[in-house]
Formats: sequence, structure tokens, C-alpha cells
Amino acid sequence: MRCRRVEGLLCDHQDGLLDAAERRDVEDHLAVCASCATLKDEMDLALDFLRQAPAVEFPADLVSSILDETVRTEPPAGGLVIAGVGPLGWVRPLLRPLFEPRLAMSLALALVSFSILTWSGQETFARWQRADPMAQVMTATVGFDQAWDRSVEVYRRVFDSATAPLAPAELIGAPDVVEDQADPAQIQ
Amino acid sequence: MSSQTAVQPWSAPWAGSRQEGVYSERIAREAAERDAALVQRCLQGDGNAWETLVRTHTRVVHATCYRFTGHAEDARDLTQDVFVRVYRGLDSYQPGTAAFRTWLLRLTRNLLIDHYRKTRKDRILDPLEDQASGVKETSVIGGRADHTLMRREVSEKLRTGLGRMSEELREAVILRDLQQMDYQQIATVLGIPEGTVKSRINRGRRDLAKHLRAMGVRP
Repeated sequence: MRCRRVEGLLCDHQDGLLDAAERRDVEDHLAVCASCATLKDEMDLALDFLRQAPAVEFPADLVSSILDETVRTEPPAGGLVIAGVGPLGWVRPLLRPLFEPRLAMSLALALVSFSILTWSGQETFARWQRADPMAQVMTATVGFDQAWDRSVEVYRRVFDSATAPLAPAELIGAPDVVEDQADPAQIQ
Repeated sequence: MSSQTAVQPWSAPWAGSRQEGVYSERIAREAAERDAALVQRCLQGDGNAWETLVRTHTRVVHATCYRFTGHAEDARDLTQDVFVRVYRGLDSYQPGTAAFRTWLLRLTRNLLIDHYRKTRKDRILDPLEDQASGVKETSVIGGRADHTLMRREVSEKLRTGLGRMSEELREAVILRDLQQMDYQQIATVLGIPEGTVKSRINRGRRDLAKHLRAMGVRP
């Protein structure tokens, strides 16, 4: 097979469109012809790169603006009537953004979140209604007191550790001494 | 106009097996028949059919315009222009000659060529590769930051590489390798013989590889 013929078939070869015999001929030629092999490598590089290309995302409002634009365009002789034309046709362009996939998805998520919150709120309210109001108030008060005491304790510890004088060993950068580990000799 | 009309099927250019190829051809044929039925309904005055037609094909038209121009704003305006033209000329579409998508892309291509010629002077003053694209490109795989960065780099290099190619090689590569059209479809869209299509794709890939290498891309 000649180089010129192989060059013509490389495109089909890359796309897997050659039959078995032609593919074998091309591959045999590529094995012995350095310039055609280089050419194939170049084309492979481009094709691999093209296959990595991410999909282009079109603007969310593009469909709406196309439909709005065609509303303003004079209809063709064939009698095409597009959305937005008719007795209540002016309403459709106003509602169209609501049916855009992204907006519709956001609205759906908002609706689900709102439903969960409402349901959860109703449950809590119902529990409060069922329970003894005085006991609820007492539980809440006790819980608040405990939380307050814990916070004060934490704050006190932080304050003490921040204001405590540094030990000489810490000042010169000596390794830390673990206070909890008592010296066995002292115990004896 | 009948939905039974024979139309050119689509096929994935790198279909892995004959079975997959047959499957994709069947899907393509069904899509073409669906489009033909939608066009028919549009011409009978069905506004919803027009909306469906626009929603179905906006992605491919916008992607083609963006890949060709490399500018978000131009791609948006051109996509809108394409659909206005389609709307005006829908009655001239003949399903027997080509699938609606092929017809649509031929119209897109003609508009892109007009735009390319009109903006030739601007491009010399304001080269494509020096500008930010402004279009969001989505990654199919994963959402990690490094992966996203890599995909963004691929997009930018591809945009620059395509921008440096000649108009005729660029359109052949875009239609083949990014829009996944087969040779026959590309020949119909570009109005050139199939052999010329192959030759342009060959040269286009080589040319793109040359520009990519110049940007430091290695296999």
C-alpha cells in the first residue's frame, strides 16, 4: 500500500470504519513507514484531545429568548403559529421561565425543603401541645442551667490556662512533660 | 409530509461494534422521524411543536456556533438568528432530502460562514486566542477541583487551537469530531463530496495537532 493511499484511509482507520483487510493493510504499512506512523500519531493526538472536550453548556435563558424572538418575527407563508400568539398567548412568555429546567428544579427543591420544615414544625408543636406545659418549661429551664454551667466551666479553664505563668522548661523549648504520668520513684 | 419518509440516519463515528452502530442508527432514524413529525405539526400551526423543536436542537446549534466562533456572545446571537431563519423558512424544508438536523446544521453553517466573513477584519485586530470564552463547559466526569481545572485547560486549548485553523478545516473537524456527524451528513451540510470531507478531516486533525503541540500538549 502506498503512503498516499494510507493517508486517505487514516481518517477511517481512526474512526474504526475500515474492514478487516484494509485495517490490516494500513497497520502493516504503518509498521514499516515512519512518516505515515508519525502522521497517525499526530492525528491521534488531535482526536484524543477532541474526545476530552467537555460539552458546551448553552445559557439557561437562550431557549426563552429564541421563542420570544420568534414571537416577534412575521410568520412564514406556511401558517406556523408559535407559542405566545393567540387570545391568551401573551401569558405564555411570562410563564415560560418557570418551566426552564434549572428554575423548575430550584423551585422543586425549595418546595421540598419548605414541606419538610413545615412537617417538622408541626410535629414539634404537636408534641408541645400533648405534653404538660409546666413540665416542658421546667425541662427547658434545667437544660438551660446545665448548658450555662458547662459554658462557664469551659470559659474558666480557658482563662486559667491563658493566664497561667509559663514553666521554665517551656520557656527554653524543652520537651513537654506529661503531668499525668507520675514518677514511679516518687510513689515508692 | 409524512413521518414515514426516508431520512438519512445518524451514526456515532466511533461506534464500538456493529451492534452499537445499528442501535445508534435506529435511534437516529427515530429522532429524524420525530423531528419530521414536529415540523409537520408546526406547519399546521402547533406552537408547542415549535417550542419542542427549539428545545431539542438548541444545544447542537449553540455548541456548533460556539466551537466555530469561540465567543459566547456571538454563539448566542448566532443561535438565535439560526432559529429565526428556520422559523421563516420552515415551509421550505423537505424531509425527503435530509434529516431536519442536517438541514438545520447546513443553515447554521451558512450563517457561520457569513459571520466569519463579516468579522474577518475584527479577528485580525482582536485574535480569538487572546479572549476569554465566557461559556460554561461541563465536565461529564467527576467534580474535583483538579479535574475541573484540567477540563477548563482542555477547553481553552481546544478553543485556541480551533481558532487558529482555517475555516474549512475547522468546520469539518467540528462537525465530525465534536458534533459526531458521519461523512455523508457532513458532505450534505458543507455541500462538498465525501472524499473532500475525509481529506479535510485528515488535514484538520493534523493541523489541530500542530497547534496543540505548539501549546505544549503532548500525547
